[in-house]
Amino acid sequence: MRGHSENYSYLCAALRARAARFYKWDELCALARGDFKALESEFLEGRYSESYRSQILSSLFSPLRKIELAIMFEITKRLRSAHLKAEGEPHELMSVILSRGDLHNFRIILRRFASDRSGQSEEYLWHLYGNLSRDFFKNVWEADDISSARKWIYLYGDPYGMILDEALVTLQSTGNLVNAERVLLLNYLKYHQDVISKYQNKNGAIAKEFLGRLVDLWNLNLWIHERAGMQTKETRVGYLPGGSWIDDKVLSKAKVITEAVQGTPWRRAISKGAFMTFHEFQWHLQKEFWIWQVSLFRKDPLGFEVPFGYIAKALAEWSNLNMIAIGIAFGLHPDEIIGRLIPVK
Amino acid sequence: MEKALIGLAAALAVGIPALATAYAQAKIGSAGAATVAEKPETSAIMIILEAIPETMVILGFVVAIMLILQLG
Repeated sequence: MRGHSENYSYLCAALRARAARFYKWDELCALARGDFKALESEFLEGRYSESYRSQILSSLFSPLRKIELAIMFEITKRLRSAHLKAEGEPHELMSVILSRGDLHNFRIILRRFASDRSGQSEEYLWHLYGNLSRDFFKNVWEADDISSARKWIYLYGDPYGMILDEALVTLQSTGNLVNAERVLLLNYLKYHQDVISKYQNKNGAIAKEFLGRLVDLWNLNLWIHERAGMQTKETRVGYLPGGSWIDDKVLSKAKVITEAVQGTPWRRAISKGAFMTFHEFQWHLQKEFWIWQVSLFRKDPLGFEVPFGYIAKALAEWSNLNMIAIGIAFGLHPDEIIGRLIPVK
Repeated sequence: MEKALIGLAAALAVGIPALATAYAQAKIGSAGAATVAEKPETSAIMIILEAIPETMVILGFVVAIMLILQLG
């Protein structure tokens, strides 16, 4: 049990030193411009060599899959180690931010049960830096149906797993994935509000804003789907309350997106170009979310900004290296790969 | 009475900077330990950074000596 003391000075210094191990923007671009052999040799000799070499020795997967696994193991290891270094307030607030891994896995499980599951025998690359273990996700994933999956959740008895249980119940009773995801996100937010409410300070406000921006993203994506005509009667669900910047009532009345995002940080996503497709707009929203998270890393050297930014940097590197590996393997043009990377300048 | 006040001033001149130094060194020390653990090549600069707040208490000590010399 961790006490109420905090160790920001130790934690922040350690994480700032560790952040030097992340690839810089120029290095990522150089990797994207190289071929698969160059990427493989970087993984053999570079910062991911330990994880990549263990994959070479222990698995019979393709080189691409081995690279994906090496990235997953290395980033998970870094995040878990950073979390273990934190004590008191930063430890609890990091738990809130790292639970995005569980949220990601919950969504994957929901999608699996909502879709045709044939041909999905290969286990998913879980994000295992949150509260729940690989066994939990593996067993729920391998369950034959929703009822069996729920039995596994109850068997584990983790209160955090109940967030998924309620979403699965919704999916089972309505067959509506969007509605089930809405229940998932609502319960996820409710679960973390208690933790955050204990910290009525600048550090707690960062975690609160993170959750609020998640709600903003969900609401903006719903608005986009609605306007793109991608929404059917079954998938029509309400906007979520509790956004950081976007008022759900203003959004529901907005005819054009500029009305809703005016005066908010999200406006930068639409300033990139007037003639964007909805998909491009969604990507720019995601990118803005990442840029905000990474930018906090250097804001206050002794505050929660450092661990928060470190988590964002680690996850952005995961996404970027995956994008480079997949992009090269599928023969994408380097400029196209670089255009899809999260800017970590 | 005047001698007592000078004595008290001398004590405060050392005591307050000592507390401030202790606070600063605690913060710098823990951050320095973490940085050196991750990057051993920074150990020299960390020792210098750890010693900088020491100047506060040294100056306080000098002021205290000067005050005590006033007592004659």
